[in-house]
Amino acid sequence: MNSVNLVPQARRFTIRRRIRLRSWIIGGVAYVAVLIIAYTTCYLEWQDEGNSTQYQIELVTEQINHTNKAILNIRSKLVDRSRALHASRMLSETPDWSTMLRLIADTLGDDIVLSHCGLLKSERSIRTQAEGQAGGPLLILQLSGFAHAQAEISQFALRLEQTSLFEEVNVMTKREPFRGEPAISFTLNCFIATIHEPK
Amino acid sequence: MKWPFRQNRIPIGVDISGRAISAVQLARVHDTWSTEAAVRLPRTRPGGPIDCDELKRFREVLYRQSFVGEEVVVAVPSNQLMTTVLTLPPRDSGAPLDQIARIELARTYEEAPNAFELAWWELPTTEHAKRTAHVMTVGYRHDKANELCDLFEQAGLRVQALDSKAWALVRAIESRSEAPSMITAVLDFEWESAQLALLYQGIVLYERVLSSCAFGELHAELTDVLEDDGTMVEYLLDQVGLEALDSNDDGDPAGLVDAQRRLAAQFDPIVKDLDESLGYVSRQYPDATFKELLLVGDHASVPGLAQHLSDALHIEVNAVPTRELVTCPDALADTLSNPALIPALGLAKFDSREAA
Repeated sequence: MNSVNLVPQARRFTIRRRIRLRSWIIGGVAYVAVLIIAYTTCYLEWQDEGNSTQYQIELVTEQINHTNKAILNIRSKLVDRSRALHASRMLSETPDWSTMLRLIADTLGDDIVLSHCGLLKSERSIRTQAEGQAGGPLLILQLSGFAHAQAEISQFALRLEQTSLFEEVNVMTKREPFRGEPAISFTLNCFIATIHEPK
Repeated sequence: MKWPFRQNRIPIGVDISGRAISAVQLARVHDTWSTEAAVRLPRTRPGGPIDCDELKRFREVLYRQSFVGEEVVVAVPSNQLMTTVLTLPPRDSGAPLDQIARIELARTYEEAPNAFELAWWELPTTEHAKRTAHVMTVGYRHDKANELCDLFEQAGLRVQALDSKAWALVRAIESRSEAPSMITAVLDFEWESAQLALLYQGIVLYERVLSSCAFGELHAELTDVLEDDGTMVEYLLDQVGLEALDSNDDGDPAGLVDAQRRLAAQFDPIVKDLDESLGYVSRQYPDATFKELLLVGDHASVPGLAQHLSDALHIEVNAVPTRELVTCPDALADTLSNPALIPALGLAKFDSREAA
């Protein structure tokens, strides 16, 4: 020790209590001030952030609406395009029968008169499909007409086969007058080579 | 540059004497004390009791002199301090020494045991009394303490501690205490009395009020002799002192020589009291050697006083300027040349952690 303190204990206690109370008050006020500043700062910060989020939501909603409108527009165009594509595909896959008719006319010769020309669906193709074999429908070009002689009919059938357009040419003939003259009527079933379905 | 929130300053040490109020404020930097502010304000009514108006004026002076803070450490007036040396059972006996000391001091001063604040400390054990504990007790009445503290609070100051002036002197002269086995005597000349304190091994060994030396009475007596309003008396005490006694005794129309003789006669009882006190301590502590007698207080710097006492007591007597005990800036060197600020310096070194 190097000193004494003769201030009465009660007075010292009062002074200490006053100092402590003042410290608590100052500390409390400072704490409340810091809290107020912190809360105010956070409130302002979060309020700005809320406004920003709302703005972004509106922006995205607007973009979605724009996109939906664009999708609807594109969808209608897609329908039109699909129809056009389907029509084009339909047109592109239909055989050009005029070519065949021109080919038949070229192979017909002078001795043959055609009275009927038609397309039939072959029963063989139905059987083939039932047996699970691959291949498209087998069409039959059925030609009917008249000729002077059997040989002319055979020559005509041979020429048809030589065109490689038909897999098989069946000839059915019978005698039948044509315009008051003796003639042989015939029916040719020309099995057209396989036409694959477009995928 | 001084930062306004710098907190290394400590409370202001305030010593109120009959002639002036002294205040010192220190700063502690790297375990070294340095003086930040010091002032010595003459009393408006010398010797009178301190009042609130005078303390308010003192407070304003403190503000103008760059003192910082409101906390003060004040010395208990010597004439109101209750002191006694007691012989108590040793500390390891388990006896309630605090209560015994309180009751003994109350009995000595005829006070109620709970009417005063008490502090006591053990004195160095003497060879012939090893089975007992010699303690020195000091006390200060609660009503007086509260009255003094209230006065300071009304003036805007807060009393952190009321310390004994003897302990303040221990702290003030600690830088001069080279050898702990040496006894230093400090004589504090106050207005109503002189106080003798003997310091040994860093504690107050002995404290006694020498009422035979009352400068207040001397001041009034010399005023009558010189038929003066006090100015001549102040001049006699501060400038002439005892040095001119031998050279100017062949006539003095102003009565100065007679006044000097009265002044010299004032110290005769002190010499006797000092001789007795020093003899008592020498018998109590035969192993300790006496170092010096330091003069402090209002009238320590009376010219020729140190030499007069030295011749009478045959010991070394010094009146040390306050600035020799602490680092001080040049601006305060003149103020701190007065030994009267030494008690205030010691009060400014008060450390509540070291208080009994």
